[in-house]
Amino acid sequence: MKLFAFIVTIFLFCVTNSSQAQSVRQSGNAFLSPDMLRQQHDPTLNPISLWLDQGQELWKSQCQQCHSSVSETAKAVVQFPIWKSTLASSGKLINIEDQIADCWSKKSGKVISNDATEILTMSVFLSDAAKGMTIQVREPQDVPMKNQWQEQMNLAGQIYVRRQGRLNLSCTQCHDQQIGKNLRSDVVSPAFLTGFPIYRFSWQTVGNLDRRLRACYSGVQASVPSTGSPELRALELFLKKRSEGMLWDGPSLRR
Amino acid sequence: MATLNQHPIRLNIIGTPTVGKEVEIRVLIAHPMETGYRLGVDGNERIPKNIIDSILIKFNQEAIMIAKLGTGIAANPLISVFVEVPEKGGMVSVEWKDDQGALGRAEKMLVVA
Repeated sequence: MKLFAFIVTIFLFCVTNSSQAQSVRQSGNAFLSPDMLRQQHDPTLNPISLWLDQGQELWKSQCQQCHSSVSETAKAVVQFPIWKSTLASSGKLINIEDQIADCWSKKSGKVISNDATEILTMSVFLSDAAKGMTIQVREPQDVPMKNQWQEQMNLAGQIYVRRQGRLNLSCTQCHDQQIGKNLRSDVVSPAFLTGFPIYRFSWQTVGNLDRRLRACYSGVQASVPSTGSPELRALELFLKKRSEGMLWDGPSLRR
Repeated sequence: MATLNQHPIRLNIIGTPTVGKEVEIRVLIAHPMETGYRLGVDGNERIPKNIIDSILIKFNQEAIMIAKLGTGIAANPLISVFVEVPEKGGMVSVEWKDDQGALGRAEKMLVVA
């Protein structure tokens, strides 16, 4: 309980601290150069539109029979990650890509990894359809589940403020305390989760949040958690909860 | 299992086509543009070179641009050319070919406003 109070204090500190630095919470788009913003808003320049074309095809051939409305389905984008309990285990956090992969596997009868091209493409398509929706994380109602969910939140809160890696940095040191300053040749943006998957120029392709977070771990020279690990899911939940009330930007361009 | 179109292509005409004025033809192609220098996941073998080596843009069956791309061009290349709109408009078409023999094409009618 003491630990929990401690984390809450730190969390509040982070939130108030960042709100002193900037009166409104800003999405990462606010930190893009005018050229990149122009590219992001113009589908004839934005490479993500190629993924959207593929996503459209996939939606028609694979998903439309069951999920009739794109916008209804896309609501999940702003609500995930959710706590999902299964018969086999007490449950775990799953994000939108896990959910798509699960659905895909059930339909095709083959297990598919959640970073397969098809899953990523579908995720981009749904993320685009969710543009402009308000982020509202879906919390479990059931008490034991809610407790486990809260445990994950607390764990992620700890990770967020924990110094790690050879650079000995925590997330909060850059993404709350150094917002707007330059890191290498890019501007540090606050850790709000408003537009994933991203097309990152240094990757030259689209990647999901797992990939982005893993890049952060490797950036501070910490041991990198594997794709889909509970640690990354917990962090995703924490970041999404932190962005609650903000508007979803859809798939975004980043350097 | 659905088969994804590996190389979707977007061909757009930017600007209002008015006779005697220029419009921009923008082509966006999904392609990894693999340089041949990167190592695979195991760290031993190089990923084979696979880049779009030529792009041909035609206007009314007449070549208006032939581009030879090199390994310095990023993935998902964006190519744009300006053409003067003739009286009757016409058909804009794009064809490309990569090192591994994959081909792609797209066409769009340019209608004079």
